[in-house]
Amino acid sequence: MRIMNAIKWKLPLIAGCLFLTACGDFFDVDPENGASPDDFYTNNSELNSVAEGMYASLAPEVHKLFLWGSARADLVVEGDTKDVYISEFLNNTVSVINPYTDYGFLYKAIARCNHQLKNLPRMKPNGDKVTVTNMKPFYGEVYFLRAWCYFQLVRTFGEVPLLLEEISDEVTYINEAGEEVKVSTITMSDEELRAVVLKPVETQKIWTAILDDLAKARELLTGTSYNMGFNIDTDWQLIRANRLAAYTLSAEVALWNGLFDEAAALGEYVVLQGKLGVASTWSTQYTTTDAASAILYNSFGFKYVFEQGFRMQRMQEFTSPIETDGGKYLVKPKMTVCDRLFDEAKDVRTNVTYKRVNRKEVIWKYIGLDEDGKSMRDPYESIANWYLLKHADAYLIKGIAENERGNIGGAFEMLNQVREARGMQRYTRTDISLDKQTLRDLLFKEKAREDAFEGKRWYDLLLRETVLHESGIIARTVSEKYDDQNQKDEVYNRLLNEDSWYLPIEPERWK
Amino acid sequence: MKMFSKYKILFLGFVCLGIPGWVGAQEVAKGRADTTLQQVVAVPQKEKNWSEIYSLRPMFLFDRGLMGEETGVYSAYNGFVGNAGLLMIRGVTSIHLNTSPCVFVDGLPVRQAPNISPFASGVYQSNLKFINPLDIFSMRVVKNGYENVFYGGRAANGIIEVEIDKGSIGTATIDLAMRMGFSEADFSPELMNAAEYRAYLYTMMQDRGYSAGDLQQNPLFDPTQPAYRHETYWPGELNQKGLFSDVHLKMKGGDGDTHYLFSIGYTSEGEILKEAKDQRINMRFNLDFKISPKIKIANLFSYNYGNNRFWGEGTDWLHNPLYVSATKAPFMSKDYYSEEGVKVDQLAGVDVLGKTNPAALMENMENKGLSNRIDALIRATWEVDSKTSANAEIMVTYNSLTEKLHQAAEGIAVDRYIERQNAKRSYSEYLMRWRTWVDRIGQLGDVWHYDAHAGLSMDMYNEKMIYGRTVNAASDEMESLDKGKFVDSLNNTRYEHNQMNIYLSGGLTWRNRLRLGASFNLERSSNFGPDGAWNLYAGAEIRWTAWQTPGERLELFGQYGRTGNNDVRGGYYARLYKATAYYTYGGVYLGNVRNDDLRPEYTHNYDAGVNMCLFKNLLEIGASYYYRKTVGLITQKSLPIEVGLDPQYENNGEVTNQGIELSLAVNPVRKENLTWSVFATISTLKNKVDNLKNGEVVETMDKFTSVARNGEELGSFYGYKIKGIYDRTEEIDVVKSDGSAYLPGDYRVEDVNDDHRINTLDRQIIGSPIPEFYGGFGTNLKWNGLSFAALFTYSYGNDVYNLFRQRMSMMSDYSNQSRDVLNRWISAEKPGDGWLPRAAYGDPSDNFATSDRWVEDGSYLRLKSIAVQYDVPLKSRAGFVKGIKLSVNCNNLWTLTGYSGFDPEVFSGVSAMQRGVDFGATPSPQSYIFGLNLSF
Repeated sequence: MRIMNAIKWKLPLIAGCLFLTACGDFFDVDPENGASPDDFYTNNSELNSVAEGMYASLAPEVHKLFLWGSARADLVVEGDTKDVYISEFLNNTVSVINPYTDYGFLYKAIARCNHQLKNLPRMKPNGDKVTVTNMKPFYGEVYFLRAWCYFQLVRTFGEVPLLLEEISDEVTYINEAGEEVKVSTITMSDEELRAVVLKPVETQKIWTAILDDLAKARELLTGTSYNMGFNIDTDWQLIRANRLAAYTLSAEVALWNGLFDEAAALGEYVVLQGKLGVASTWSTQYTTTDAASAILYNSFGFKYVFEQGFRMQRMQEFTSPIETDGGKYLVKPKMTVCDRLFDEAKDVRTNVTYKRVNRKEVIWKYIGLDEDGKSMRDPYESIANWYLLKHADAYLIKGIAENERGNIGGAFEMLNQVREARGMQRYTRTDISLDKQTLRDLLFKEKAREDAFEGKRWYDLLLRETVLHESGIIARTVSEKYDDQNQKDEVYNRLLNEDSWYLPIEPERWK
Repeated sequence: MKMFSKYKILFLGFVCLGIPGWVGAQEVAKGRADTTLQQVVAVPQKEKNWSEIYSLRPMFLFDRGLMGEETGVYSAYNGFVGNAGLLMIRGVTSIHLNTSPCVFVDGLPVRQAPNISPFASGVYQSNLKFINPLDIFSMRVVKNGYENVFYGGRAANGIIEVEIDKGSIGTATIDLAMRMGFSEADFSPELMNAAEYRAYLYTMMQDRGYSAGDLQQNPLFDPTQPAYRHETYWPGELNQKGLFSDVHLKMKGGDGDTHYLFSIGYTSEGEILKEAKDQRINMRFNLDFKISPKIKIANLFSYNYGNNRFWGEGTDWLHNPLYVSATKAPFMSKDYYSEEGVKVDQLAGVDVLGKTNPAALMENMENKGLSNRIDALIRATWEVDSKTSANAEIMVTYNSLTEKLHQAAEGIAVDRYIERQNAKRSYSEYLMRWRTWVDRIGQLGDVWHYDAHAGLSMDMYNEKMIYGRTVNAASDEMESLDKGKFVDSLNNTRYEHNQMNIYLSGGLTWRNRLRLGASFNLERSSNFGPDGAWNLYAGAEIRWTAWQTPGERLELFGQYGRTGNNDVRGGYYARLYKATAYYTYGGVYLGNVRNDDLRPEYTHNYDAGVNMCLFKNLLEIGASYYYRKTVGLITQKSLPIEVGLDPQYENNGEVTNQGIELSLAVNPVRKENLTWSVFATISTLKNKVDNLKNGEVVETMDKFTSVARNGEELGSFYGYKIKGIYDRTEEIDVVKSDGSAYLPGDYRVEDVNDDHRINTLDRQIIGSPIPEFYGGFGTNLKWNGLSFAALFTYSYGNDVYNLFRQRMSMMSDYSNQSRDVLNRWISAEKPGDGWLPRAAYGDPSDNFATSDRWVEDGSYLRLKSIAVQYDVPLKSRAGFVKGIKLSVNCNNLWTLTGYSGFDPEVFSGVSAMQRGVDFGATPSPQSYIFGLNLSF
């Protein structure tokens, strides 16, 4: 009886133990609002979706690139509606509370690049689709995109934190005793994180990181980009990193670092592809959203989808005067400055770039669907592409670099090739004085026309001011756009000061 | 396969522990009452007889009758039929998690409020529609932490235990209850009439830059125009008498071995807002039988069907019928007039001001819901001996809800790009719950008695939701989802939760005077990672009966218990990729980083009090104090932006709730044919948020903002304090947040930080939806066959944010407005009554941001119910009719309040951060219900 009793008591206990051990996976419920990263990097499409995620934070923020690179410069002024924070850019009085200075979207992309870089080695070659060679572009794209992000940051803000390793679950850093320490990220305070991994670094370190990344990107972004058994859309040659984009960006970065020989050589790579395009179809890259026209003239840029949330692209909000189309008309072209820039009748770019429509001056690039100002974009058509790197940029960068290294002939040739491709006459050697300064002015003028309102003008001025040592060029050029003499003088004096060339940073405010 | 293995485990467990021989019990058992509830520790306070209350006072949904009767229970419902309301038991414990109590119906857990967000704005379909109040046998609100240890991670917001009626021994009885009635309420805002509105519109259009010439040409300002010469009070078109009907049939009976019950009920409730209606059919079947003298099997099965039509009565102003009506130009007509001025038999379309025709909205917009629910339970009870019993049960519930929306284009204003829309949402939840437990009682020596309870339960819960909306179908007739021209949104969510609990509790009683109890509940939940999955909830109590004679008693008690909230639905502990899109391509990014430490929010509950019964049951008093501290609130931490990660969830923050609860009952007359009693309850509540290290949590809904901030009540209203209106430019010494200048006529906002700039840093706490005290009082009188009952409820110290009034005063577009705007600020010479600022299209000075101007005292005293019932004396009991009862019940007959809106009792959402906001939803109506009960 005692034995029976003992068994009676123990049986349920044993059953209970078995039960508890057997139900291990009972509690292993996959959260349904996301996917486990452990399940990724097993095939090519998973790898690719992480890659697409790297760019996702950038495309919706192109209006910031416009404010940083165009609104501050000489071609854009206040429209009929005033928004205090946008006016701060237009008037070069950007305050620390200005929400458009939030650089979070670039760091999101950087974090995702770092994540991809750390995890790519998990992807093992697998049959004929995923081979070591095919994997290269995915590495290259990380380096390219990260470099592009830091290129924006260093030129806009100066000294910023430089993150080249992923911070996710844990933060790894070297403590005062020189030991490597790992701490759970979420347990660290902002101050601790700022002290150990988020200290702003000298700009030279950032430039070095950019140069390093781009060297790798050029190496890794081969001609067979993303060839892993996908049907590669034409779009990808624009919206994903590629070899041409890497060379164009490398050339520009080299120029910014005063490496003129290198800039010329890198530009040469793009020039040899002969993709400058022709005058007759140049406008289609703006009047259509056709991928083929876009890649004819550009190597990297963002596209927009209206149906994702049915939100208008903000460039339409900024530039359109038509309220029912969602336009707020916050900015408009400064006609006198623009007219001085676009001063050649045969230039095919003039009509597409800006014009006066219904008594309103408008930046036509983002709202127009033709060259003669008749057809404007409806809200659902507000999907103008945003171009970041153009083939013509590489020609002009090479030209500028050749000019700086004393190869006047080379510079002259680049200038002429671009002129010709945009419908104008080649200069003959007697048309202009072939000195360094004149050529430099003409090359930058050409670049301004090619890239007008595309977030580049300010940086070109900054390049001339800092790298090419044209002292006061920012102040002189930008102050030109103000009609009021007091404002002109005030902005002129302010822009003589180096501090005013960089946007103020207060990241805690943007949280 | 994985699913299958889970079933296997459950089945195995059921078989193993359900077989008597496997259960560890040796001694002689005692027969136990058949209760589906937890082993109930002796509860000295007299339980309310809810089945009598519901029979006397028909309640549309049973949870609507709790406030006033029970201490510690606060509720707020609007007149929205079939909607859940706010039900708060001893305060509010969470910022981001579910804050509604969990209801256990025969052991089956159901959240009082839905788990999903509203399909149409403001619509929270009640989860409790599947219970017909007439099927309730008993109900208990479990508030104290000690008893709630049993419910572990579900108990942070209190528990309501409901036991459904079952068959009983005796001859078969049939009860037929029929009720009919109607409800009505006035919800007519005071609006400008046609002439006043026309003058106002003129100034608004002038403000927009129209010249006098333009305006003179505009037919809107010509009162002879056939289309514009009317005087329409649009909201008047919405009101109707809500009709109520309810038929309920219950049959039950049984012999010594077998008991049965079958009930079927049909309820139809019409809202006082046209077209809105809720219909329900509830069916229940119960069969209990013995398979041996010691083994009893109980079966319960119920099926419920519901369908309803509803309106989004929340902040979707374009489709909120009252708001659309109230803002429509009163000089227009719902009918279409031809250019010649002939009335055409057709509804007018969207007017030249871009406004919907409210009549077209009522006709061309349709929201429908359809629900099906099945519950089943089988329980085996083995009475091992007189002291020990063993039980095992398995229950399954499946609930599905389908909601549909069709919005035609005719007469309804386009919403951005949406001309027409068809939307559909399907939601289903499934729960399988298995439980086994052993109860044992016994004696230790001569003076000590013990009781013990041990058990194990496993829950497997699965919830799915799919939502789709397509827009701009080719025609108004195309009502199905697939007819839309393009997909506007498509959403699919799934949530799975598996949970296990191991219970152990027991008590020692000394001479029926002193009781010591302890309770443990070890819970494992799949909502947390490895370090947070196992959680122990534990509690202890001491009770001392100081004095006891027949009819008199004094008992003191002290309790502690830890409960929790494990309803964390985001996999926040896990490292997760989230979906994103780049151009048309899908991408992913690391959205969640690992947080192994994430745990449920724990609530420590301390209770102490006294229960008294004096003067031979003349006086019954309950007095207690509770202190509840919830720690480890799940809040979001924003990392520095350079880290590039989204905000992450972690346990951080505390909230305390404390209060005193008093209940008093006086029973002055207790004769056989005459009884009379008077009762009153009062509960106080103090709530405070603390230790939020990630900073305050701010939520905004339309023009309403709330905050969870250290030292303040959770969900406090957060906005500006208005100190008047600027008359002249010289008086203005502050600038707007963006640095631009205010103008005369703008509100003078208090500049809290004195930086001469009005921005979010100047927001202050401007009110709180949490009452200081609340409760009810009433009386019950029985004289022969006549019963009379009255119940008053009250709430004091809660604020209401009158968003509807704010919206009706904004003067920022061409909407008709409240009559208040006639006294707005126009100039320094015509400053109006100082209440409203200048009218300005688009509100460029943000005068109508959240502010104290719209906060009102929501205190009220309400005659909730008066009921009279007459039990017709039947001369011969031999006939087949055994009883006839006639009853009348009137609800909400009278309300005393200073609140300016339709009803101070407002329900705006279940989230802790969205309470006490008045959207102008239909108020709780006055209702008159007549009943006839027949027993056979």
